[in-house]
Amino acid sequence: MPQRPPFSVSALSIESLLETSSIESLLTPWVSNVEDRQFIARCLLRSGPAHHRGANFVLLSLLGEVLQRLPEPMPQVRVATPIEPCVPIPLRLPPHLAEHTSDRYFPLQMSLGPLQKLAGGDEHAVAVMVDCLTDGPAQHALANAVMVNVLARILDALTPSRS
Amino acid sequence: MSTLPPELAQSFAVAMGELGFCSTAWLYVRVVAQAGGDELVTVLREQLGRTFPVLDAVAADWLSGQRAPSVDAGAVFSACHGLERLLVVGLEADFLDALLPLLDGVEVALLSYSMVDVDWERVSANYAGRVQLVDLAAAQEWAGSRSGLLTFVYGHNGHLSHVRPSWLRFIGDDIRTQFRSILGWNVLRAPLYVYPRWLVETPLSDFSEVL
Repeated sequence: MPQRPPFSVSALSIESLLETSSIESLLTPWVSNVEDRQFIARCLLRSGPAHHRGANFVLLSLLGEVLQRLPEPMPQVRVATPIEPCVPIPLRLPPHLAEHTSDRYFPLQMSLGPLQKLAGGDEHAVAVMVDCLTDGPAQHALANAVMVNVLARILDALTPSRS
Repeated sequence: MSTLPPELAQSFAVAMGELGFCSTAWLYVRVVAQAGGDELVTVLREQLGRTFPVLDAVAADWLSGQRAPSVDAGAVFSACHGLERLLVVGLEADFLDALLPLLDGVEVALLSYSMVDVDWERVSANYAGRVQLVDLAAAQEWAGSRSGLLTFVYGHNGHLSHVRPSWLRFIGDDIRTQFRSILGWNVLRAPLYVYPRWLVETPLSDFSEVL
């Protein structure tokens, strides 16, 4: 019986799907600087295995579509305030270099609001969630952070749950 | 037809380590042209071009009427906007000399790693403290969201470029996400014509910007 090729979609096909500018645009409310947006988008779409790049593009694009359909338009620049706690995403550096200086973090913060709601006031649970979402390769940690930020916005726009 | 002394290859090899392939090539082409015009530059290209492909490209540039390298330091400066630190991999003296005065407030380091023999202390002395030397083990200390990486590109065809092997020793998937900007500064006006001895191929997609 002839063997079926294990991968019917080439890496080149995945590469041709990726459109950086729309993802850079999606990042605008959380990353005001254009060079920083290019950096984040490069990490999301130009690093790691091809299927991760493609998955990031698809999921973030769909979330961007949801944002577009919200009743209230997304403000172009969203600045974190004390009532909107955030955490920075560390660069993936060897442990001995992972100093806690501002330069050792990606120029993107992840909103803690949805995680705090999910954890129901359990700060330890929030810390665990943050660890799970921000650990790992840059393309995962950054995609997680952007998704949480977008979900925060969607949750804000939805009617509060009855529970 | 005139010939040039065979020792020229040896001296070129020493100079290219400490000035860079392209900067050395322009220096030699100018001096040879002063001594014997285009005819002697043609001889230089015939004798040494295949051994030193960047010299071949620069000689071709000269023979087509160019009289200086294309050094657009302003474009590189623009690409460095917002950076606080810049790690340079590879050396091109003419290009760094043009860029450094523009990078006021930006810390600059040079990776002291090369496949070609280099007296790094002598190279460092040329920059009078403006450029720090960083070895391969310490280079990642320069990573950061306000850090950039810069190397010199020796021509490209729109997809593939030629770079120094030291670039490939340093750049990797991990490094790419640790620096905000990964800049390739193309120092040649056209792709290399002869076999790219001393250099290696890398895709242009390695860079966040090619200038």
